[in-house]
Amino acid sequence: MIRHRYISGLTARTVGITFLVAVTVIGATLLTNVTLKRMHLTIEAMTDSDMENLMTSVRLVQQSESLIALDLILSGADTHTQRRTALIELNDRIDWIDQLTGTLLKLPQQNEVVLRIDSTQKQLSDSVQLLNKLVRKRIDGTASTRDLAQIPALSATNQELAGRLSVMLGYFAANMRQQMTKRSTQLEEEINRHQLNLIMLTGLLLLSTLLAGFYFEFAVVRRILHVQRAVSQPAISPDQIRVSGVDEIAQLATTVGTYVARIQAQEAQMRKIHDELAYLAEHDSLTGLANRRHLYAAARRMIAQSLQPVCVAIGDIDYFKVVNDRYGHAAGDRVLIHIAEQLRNGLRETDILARYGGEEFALVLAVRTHEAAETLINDIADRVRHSSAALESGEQVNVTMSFGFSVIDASTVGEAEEQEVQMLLNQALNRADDALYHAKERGRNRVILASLTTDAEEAESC
Amino acid sequence: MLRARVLASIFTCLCLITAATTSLAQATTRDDIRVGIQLEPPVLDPTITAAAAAGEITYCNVLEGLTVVDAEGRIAPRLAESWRLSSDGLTYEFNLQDDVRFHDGSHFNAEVAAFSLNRIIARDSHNPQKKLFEKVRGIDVLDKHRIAVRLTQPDALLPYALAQTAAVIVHPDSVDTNATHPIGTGPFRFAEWEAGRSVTLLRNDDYWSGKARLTRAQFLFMQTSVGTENMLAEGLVDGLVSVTRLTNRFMVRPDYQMRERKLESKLLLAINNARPPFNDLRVRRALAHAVDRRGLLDLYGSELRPKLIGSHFPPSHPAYVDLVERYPYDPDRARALLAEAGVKPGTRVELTIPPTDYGRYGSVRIAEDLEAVGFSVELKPVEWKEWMQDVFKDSDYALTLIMHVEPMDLNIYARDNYYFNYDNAGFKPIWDQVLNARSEAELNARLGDAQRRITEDAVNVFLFMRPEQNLMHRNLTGLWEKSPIPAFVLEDIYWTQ
Repeated sequence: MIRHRYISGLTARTVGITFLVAVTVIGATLLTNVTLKRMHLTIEAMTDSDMENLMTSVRLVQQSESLIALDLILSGADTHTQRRTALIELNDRIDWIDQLTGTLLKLPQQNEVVLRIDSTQKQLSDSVQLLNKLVRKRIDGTASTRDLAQIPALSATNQELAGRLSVMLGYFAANMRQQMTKRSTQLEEEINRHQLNLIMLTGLLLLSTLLAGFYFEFAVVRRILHVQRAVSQPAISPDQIRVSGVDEIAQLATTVGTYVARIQAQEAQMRKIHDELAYLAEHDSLTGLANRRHLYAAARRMIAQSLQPVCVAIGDIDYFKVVNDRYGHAAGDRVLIHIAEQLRNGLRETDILARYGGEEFALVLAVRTHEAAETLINDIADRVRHSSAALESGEQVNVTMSFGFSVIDASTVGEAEEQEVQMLLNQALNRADDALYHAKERGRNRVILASLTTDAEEAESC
Repeated sequence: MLRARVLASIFTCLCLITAATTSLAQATTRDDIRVGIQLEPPVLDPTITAAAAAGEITYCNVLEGLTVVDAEGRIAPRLAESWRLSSDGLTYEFNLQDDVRFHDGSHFNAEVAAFSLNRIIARDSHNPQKKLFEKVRGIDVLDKHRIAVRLTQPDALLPYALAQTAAVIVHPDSVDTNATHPIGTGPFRFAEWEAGRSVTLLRNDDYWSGKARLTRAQFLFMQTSVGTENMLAEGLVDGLVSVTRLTNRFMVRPDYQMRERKLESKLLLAINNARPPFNDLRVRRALAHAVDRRGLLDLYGSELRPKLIGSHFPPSHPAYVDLVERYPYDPDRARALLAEAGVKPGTRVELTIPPTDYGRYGSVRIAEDLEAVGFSVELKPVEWKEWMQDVFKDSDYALTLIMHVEPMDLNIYARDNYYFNYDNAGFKPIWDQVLNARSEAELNARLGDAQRRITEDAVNVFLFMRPEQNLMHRNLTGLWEKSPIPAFVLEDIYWTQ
């Protein structure tokens, strides 16, 4: 897993992309370098060798042509000084031609033309040497008639040889020029090729850059944004924080997800504790019924919201002290639990039931009429009357309850202040309590509606 | 942010590539030089050859002396840091440069300096300037960097003699190979000698007194006039170390410039005084009358006219005596003298020509003049090596046309077995007086006597002083133009563009 992450991780990919770009740049530099070096060599060959050879051959053509003129001057000379000067110049030229031909002979690529140039030049040299001898003889006055006749003939031969040399050198020069043109074309092609290579490399560089850009956009920026968005939502779900892949960002997302999940778990735990505490604060731990505090809050809500009249009743277990005394407190508790169950079972979901005191219970119910309220409470009293609580010893205990109740016309309350509602409630409770007192007074096991006036009517059920 | 950085680095790389490419296109100032030199020396060691070309190439470039005649023509210290003359004038004490090495790594010290000087004055020495050291009795090594040169008589010119091309310091380990591969202490080291073509020197980067600006110097041998013309025309040489027939013509080119030098090159029709009929004074005088020296003055073109001389002495020297008209051009007088000496018309005489411009073209004129008085002249063109061997060493010649480039070299007439074969019995006492002159006036007077003597003896036909105008590329700076030493010193030369 670690190995895999190493290979495909963000760092590895960054290194990979950087390497790719670096390789492209280095490649372009090396390619340029190599090409420039090659071009430099070609140019050097052109200037140092080709150009030099071309110039040498052109010089040679020139010199061999001037040899013809010198031969003419030599054969037409009238004075010894003229002859000597012509000879000196002829020899000077032949020496120079010899030296130049030597340069051509040093060329690496020896071809037939060069060899023929060399042999013709040698012939010419020999012929000039012979001419030298004859002209010297003539100057010295020791030349025979045959010698004298040979001078113009030799001169003619020289002219012919020089002419031939000139033609061959011209051919050589043309070849050289062709070679230079070829090299120049090669160079041009090379430059074009390199231009194309450079364009391609630049394209590749741009492409790599774009790819790198896209890669960072999709592989880094967007995924980080995804995590950021997921985290900044009001309701965070750790599942949404997750991003695909196995790189550092995926790891980061997983870490953030885990962290968020942990925070959420802790939050839930705290809420649970809070709920438990809140429950304990508002409920009676023995019967599980709401306590007085919860009763007030729930009753206030009902009074404020209900469109129907609200009945507020208080019930008290008759002779509960007797039960405690006879069976003990544990049995008393069981009776209390049994009563709470009976009361709860007789009520609707929306009705409010609370343990109001030791053996006192309060009920807040939305009702249509006083009668309906009375019927409902009577039913509950009835249910209690006909049920019995099972003690641990197996004995059955029957108890009855007395109820006093009052009714609030909640429809008139509207949007009253909480304090006013509490006041209404308190009054209703007081009246119910008074009614309960009457019920106890009248022999218990009965339900009495509190009258709105002091001389309240008594309602008695059987 | 990340993308911007990637793009920035790519952009930087591209810029670098572009910069590298464009920098190739920038032109740079040249740091090499190609100099045309007419004669190829037989060897490159100036301590063993009279061929001035050896010194022209190596002096102050490859090989250095204890002293030097600098760019301004003044005597200056070189390998000797300083020197002191004793009160009796008989001992020179030289303090030598410390930490100087030869090109092969060997050290220069007092032992090496003493070895070099002893080699010059040795009995079997072939040093061409040995005569300048005649008064040296011996050399003492005082310590590692001090030597004393003891003299038989006072010699104020010793520091000048030590600055000559033939007095350069050589190392005992390389002395035997210096002829073909000179090893010295100079700012350039010998690289290659392509026989018949060129000698190449490369900069010595470890030179003891700072690097030269040129990195490469090539001395190209210009054996033919046509070749010289071709090379100059195509700009294949940056300058010539001496004047040629072509100089005049090429002066019109805007890239070349005339550079004047302070050399003392004398053109002579040298005569083998021992070879009949030239062992007869009348015949030699006949030659002097026969040669029309004025007719030779256009040898270097119309604008570069040489100065005539009547003896082996430069007109610029205060001791100069004008002997130009001692033997006026007079073919009749020449013929009469020849007849008197019994030289028959048609007598064959060989004129040996060195491979130079003045040799080739001057000899034709000389031949014409000599034939006009009855000689039958055979022109014998030879290679320079051949000339050095046959003429200079073996004295196997009758007449030769030759340029003597060494300054103040009248002493050669006092030498025995010099190639003139001059019977110098009468000259030697005069030269002794020259050497022992006690004042400058006396020295000049005695030098005047010496000039007169060789002219009277018509040892050679003294023709003219070579015009010291050299064709050089306009952008070359730092030439030692005021130095009388026939050398092409590279150390201060550089290209201005």
